[in-house]
Amino acid sequence: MKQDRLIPATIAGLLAGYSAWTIWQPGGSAVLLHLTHSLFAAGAWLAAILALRASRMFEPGVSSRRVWILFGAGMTALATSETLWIAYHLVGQPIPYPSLVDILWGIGFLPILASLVLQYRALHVQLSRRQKLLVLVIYLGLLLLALFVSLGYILTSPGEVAVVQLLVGAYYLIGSLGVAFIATLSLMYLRGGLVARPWVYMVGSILMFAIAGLAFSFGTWTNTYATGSNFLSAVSDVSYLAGYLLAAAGGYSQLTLRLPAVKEE
Amino acid sequence: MASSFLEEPLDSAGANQVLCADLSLLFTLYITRLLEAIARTGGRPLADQFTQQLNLYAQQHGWSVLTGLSDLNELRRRIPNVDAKVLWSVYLAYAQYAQKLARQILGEPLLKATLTTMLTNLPPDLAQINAQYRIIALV
Repeated sequence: MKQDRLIPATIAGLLAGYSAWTIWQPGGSAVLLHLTHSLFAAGAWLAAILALRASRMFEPGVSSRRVWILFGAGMTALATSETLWIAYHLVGQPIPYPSLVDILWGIGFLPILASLVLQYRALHVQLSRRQKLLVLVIYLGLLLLALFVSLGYILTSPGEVAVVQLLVGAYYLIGSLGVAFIATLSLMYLRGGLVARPWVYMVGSILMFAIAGLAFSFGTWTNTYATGSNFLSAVSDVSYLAGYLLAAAGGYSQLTLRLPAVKEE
Repeated sequence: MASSFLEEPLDSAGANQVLCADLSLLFTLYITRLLEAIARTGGRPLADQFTQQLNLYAQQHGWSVLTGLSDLNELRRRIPNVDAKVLWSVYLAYAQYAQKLARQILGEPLLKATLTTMLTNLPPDLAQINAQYRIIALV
């Protein structure tokens, strides 16, 4: 099977397998919880290693090298956060809020966002105003939809949601969608080229993190988030896993870019 | 300057040699800029594959026989001393192939931007040569 089909097929297979596990939960909810966070950690470490290796394909001083280093650094922080979560649970210690797990997750997201902004700037993206407006409208639509759903709950349940939780949720949502918007513009500029392949996965990854973050925030506000307990939690967990896997696929795709022979006319 | 020789008949050995040098410089500049753009966005291994593919194409299309040079890299050290019109047709074909390869790698918008920048930044004498011989062309 060709690589451009193998990667999506592998990701789809893993997500289907994890979704099936979430539905039937063999071994119970505790097993599912540990499996979920082990998969998150494995996906994040894989994404970090592949991104840092991908950075070495570019010469020192080239912006793309910094793009991949930043992305790898961010993924390393997220991977450390996920690993710490597992460590807390293995020793049976309760996790305070905010803990090192939350702080590392929050900090780790910043270099990831920065890497995609740097990629946009390094490419000197030139798109027509119409193309930019079209993408902007789509992302504003997504943001408004998310705000409509969130505000609907907050306004009908006054006092239920803490200000800190609101701010954290808004940070992830606006940050993810804002950067996904910029990354989509970069991707449109690279369209049709071999060099666009890794960025298809990167944009997909950021969008998955946005969906996961929104579902997680909403689940936290409504006190309904618990791995394997309901549909909202499943959406959040599957999206987080998809985000990590797509980020890893981006690095792998960059590392394995090969130029096919050109047919002469 | 090179442009002053353009009007001279090519049967003059000196003019022929200067035109060969100018065309070679233009072609080398073109390939180098494409390589840099590929290395910047796709990485050094992809740029190396681009060079290999282009050298393979040259090998299959009589580069050594036509120019007496072993491969395209030798252009950095030696200028072929052949009929400038023949050399021009060789560079034109190779440049078109290089552009096809670069389009596959960079995609149309990025390739177009790279070529536009390249054309804008050409020194005036090379710009004049390119205007006449169209080695670097926006499609």
